Amino acid sequence: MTRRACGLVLILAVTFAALFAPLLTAYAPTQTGVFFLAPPDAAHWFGTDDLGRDVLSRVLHGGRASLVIGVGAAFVACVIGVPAGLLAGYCGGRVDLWATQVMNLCIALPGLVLALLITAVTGPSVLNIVLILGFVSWPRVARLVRGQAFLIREALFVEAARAAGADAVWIVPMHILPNVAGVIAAQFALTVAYAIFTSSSLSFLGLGIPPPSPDWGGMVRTGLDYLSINPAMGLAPSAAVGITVLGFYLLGSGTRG
Amino acid sequence: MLAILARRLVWAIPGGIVITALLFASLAGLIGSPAALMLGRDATAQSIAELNARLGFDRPIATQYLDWMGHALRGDLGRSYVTHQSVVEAVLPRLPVTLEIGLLALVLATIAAIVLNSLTGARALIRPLATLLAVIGITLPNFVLGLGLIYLLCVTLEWLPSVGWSAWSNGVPDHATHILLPVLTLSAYYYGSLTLVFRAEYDAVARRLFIRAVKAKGLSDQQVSWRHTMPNALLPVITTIGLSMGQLVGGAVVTESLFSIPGIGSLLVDSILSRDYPVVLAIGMIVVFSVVIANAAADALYAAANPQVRIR
Amino acid sequence: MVDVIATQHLTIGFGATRVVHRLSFSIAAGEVVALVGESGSGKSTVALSLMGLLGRSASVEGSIHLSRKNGETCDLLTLPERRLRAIRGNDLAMIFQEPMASLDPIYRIGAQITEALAVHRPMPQAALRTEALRLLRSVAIANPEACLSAYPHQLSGGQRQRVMIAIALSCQPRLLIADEPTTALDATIQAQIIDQLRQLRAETGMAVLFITHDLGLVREIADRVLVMYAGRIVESGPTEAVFGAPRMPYTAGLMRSRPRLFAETPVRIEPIPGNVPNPAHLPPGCAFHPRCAHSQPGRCDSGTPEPEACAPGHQVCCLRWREIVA
Ligand SMILES: Nc1ncnc2c1ncn2[C@@H]1O[C@H](COP(=O)(O)OP(=O)(O)OP(=O)(O)O)[C@@H](O)[C@H]1O
Ligand code: SF4
Ligand SMILES: [Mg+2]
Repeated sequence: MTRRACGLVLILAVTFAALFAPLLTAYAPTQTGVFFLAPPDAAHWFGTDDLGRDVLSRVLHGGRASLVIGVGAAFVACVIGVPAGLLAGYCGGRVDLWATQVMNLCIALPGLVLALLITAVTGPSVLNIVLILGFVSWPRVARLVRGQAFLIREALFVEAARAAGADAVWIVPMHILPNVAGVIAAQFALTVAYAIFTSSSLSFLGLGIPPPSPDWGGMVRTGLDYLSINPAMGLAPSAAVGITVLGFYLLGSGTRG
Repeated sequence: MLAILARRLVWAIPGGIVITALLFASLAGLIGSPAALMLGRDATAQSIAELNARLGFDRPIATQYLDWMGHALRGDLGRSYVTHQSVVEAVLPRLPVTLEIGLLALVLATIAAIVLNSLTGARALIRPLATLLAVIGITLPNFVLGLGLIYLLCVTLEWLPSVGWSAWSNGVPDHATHILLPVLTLSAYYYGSLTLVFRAEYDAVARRLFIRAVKAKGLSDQQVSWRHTMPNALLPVITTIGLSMGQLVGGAVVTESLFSIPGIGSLLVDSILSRDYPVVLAIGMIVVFSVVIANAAADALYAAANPQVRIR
Repeated sequence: MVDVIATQHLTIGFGATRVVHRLSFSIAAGEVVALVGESGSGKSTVALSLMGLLGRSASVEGSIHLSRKNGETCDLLTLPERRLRAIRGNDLAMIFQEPMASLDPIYRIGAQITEALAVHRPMPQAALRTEALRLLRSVAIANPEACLSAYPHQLSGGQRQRVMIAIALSCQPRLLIADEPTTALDATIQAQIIDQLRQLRAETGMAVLFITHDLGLVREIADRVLVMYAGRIVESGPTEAVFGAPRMPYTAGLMRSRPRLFAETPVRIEPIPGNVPNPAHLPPGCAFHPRCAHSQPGRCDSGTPEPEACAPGHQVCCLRWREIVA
């Protein structure tokens, strides 16, 4: 409960900052200035970057892309993963066996490396990254939903069969989805965390949303070179990534428990 | 034990072939042709087709795959389009670097997860600490954690030399100080996920009846924990090590790139950015194949470590 | 005779719920005492409290005095954990209710048998092995060498329970607590194991606290019986006296509810009506009164019966035992 509340507070804070970024800072995120690499002061709380842009403004605006990518990818993952998991769990038997094998194999694959390869071919637009990360993370959703659906099916079949024999075929699918909704919600939050984790790593490696739009991973990459001149350039976006992923992780792992 | 290992590994080979074929097909055909990768997003359809034809990428994918595999088995992974160096020569010297960092991180994470969660003294203090570290490890991407460590230990405190790589030949101390931060960074995620799995299993084992029977013999809490609870909780850890191998590879790519370490991961990123298709393909295949093999090995280890399976 | 163990007003609670109330009993050296009662009456809880294995959620009050092998007598409830460890498995040993789940699945039997010995009496590896073989023979394991190197899942239920007994006996305890050692086993194996226990008792002279539902078994092996109901001892005395002339209606009910295989005259089995009360909501007065045929409104539901001697060594907890006898 407390875990979940902490997660929620962090998420709300990040969302608020991203939504109202233009009202919270006096500078546009892409507006260059004459003071390069200025350390933090009253005018620029996190200083300026190598092109004289306000770091705070870029961090706040950068949240937008990250949130859109995270939520979008989780949505895609659920759209693929939930039906796949329900089907495997509901059908059982051979279908389930094969589906489980495939899911386990996919989960073991290096998601980041796959995303890297695919992004290199398709180009790093927001939509592409959303689709790719959704595609990389659906097996986890599917595996979880499958497990739950399986358990509920067993329990329901026993009950339904006792109550009204033939109705079992109808009762079961109608009951499984509402019962797995909590698990799906939790896994949705965890997938958002994973997607932001991975997409920021992608952009750190140079395959993020193209400049000049602000993007946390890319900002860290540049900030790395100026760590001893204006540390905030790398540390501020790093902290932003950490807080956002942590928020969604706490929400997801707290909901499940 | 060896027989089981061998059998499972043999079984993993078809899986590896299927997966590599899929990867090959998706890189070479489904998502975009190699030429599209090499020429970038702005290429015209015509120039892509021309390049594909010139490099033989217009042949059926199955033919290309068999061709590539045939050469690979003979130790020929092609030549880099950028440096014109043989891919084998580019990859081989970097392999030990990645393996060293990856294995050290793996060992460190496993030991830390098991030891921190099996300690019985001052548990009320150590357990929350272990959890905090685990949450940090799971939620902070490697580049965030690594940057924080660099800032703290290299820039502010100046305890460690800055990023970069120092080979064994430069002496052990130099090597060790350069490898410390990358290994710490890379192990964090693994430590976190292992802690979650191991802790849940440890607590479940601690509730089992035989633990009470062991206490009735007069063993101390430490003896009960290290001799009985911990070893019984190890099995799912082995599976998790196999399952998160992919995550470790991803982490290695980011970590090597952050610390400028000449390993496979940074080579992959560089090749992707310079659109060097043969190198990307070779590394992709190696990585995917090793993940499949590592999974099978974890499976076999699981079987070998479980007396109920082992006897049969 | 010397008491091996003696409890005074032993009271055990989990959270706000008291499960065992002011239990006082003692067991002399070499004596076999049976603890009987319906499921949920608190038998295992008492056994675990003697071993100090109830865990942190339990609060235990009163005293448990144990006379140790080395001659000293101590109150187990005031001893620090470190000294309790020296007693567990050494002076006090326990066989658990579930033989199937009480062995560690990943170690061979040999290692598990010698574990207590290695803790309490360090000796060289070869001596440990000899001792383990001797113990396995003493509980009549057919092929002790093979058993030493087997894993628990390779043994049958009866073999596992024998191994558990061998482990419990390994340090020659002063008191063996056997919590339903045979309920999980089939009848033939059960008889063999009981024979074994009886023989071992005769050889070693240890005291035994025998927990069971099986009254036939009690009659066969116990010197004395303690009858428990809802966390209290409601009747205690020499086996013959309690079986011959049960004074407490609950004991009498237990006797009638027991199937008798070879009774000379056909006897009707009469289960006691109703259920064991939930320890959190015990009926006022005599906890048995809602189920008791002799219950007297206004008396049994208000006054708590205290133990009274009805014959030498025979105690009963019933407000109306004199009237019922008559
Ligand atoms: N750890 C615990 N926490 C809370 N209540 C407990 C705990 N252990 C036992 N109890 C309660 O104490 C009561 C006595 O349980 P106990 O296991 O001692 O009965 P028993 O006489 O051994 O029964 P059985 O014949 O089934 O073994 C029960 O009501 C049980 O619910
Ligand atoms: S005290 Fe009353 S209710 Fe209790 S056993 Fe005796 S007669 Fe029955
Ligand atoms: Mg019991």
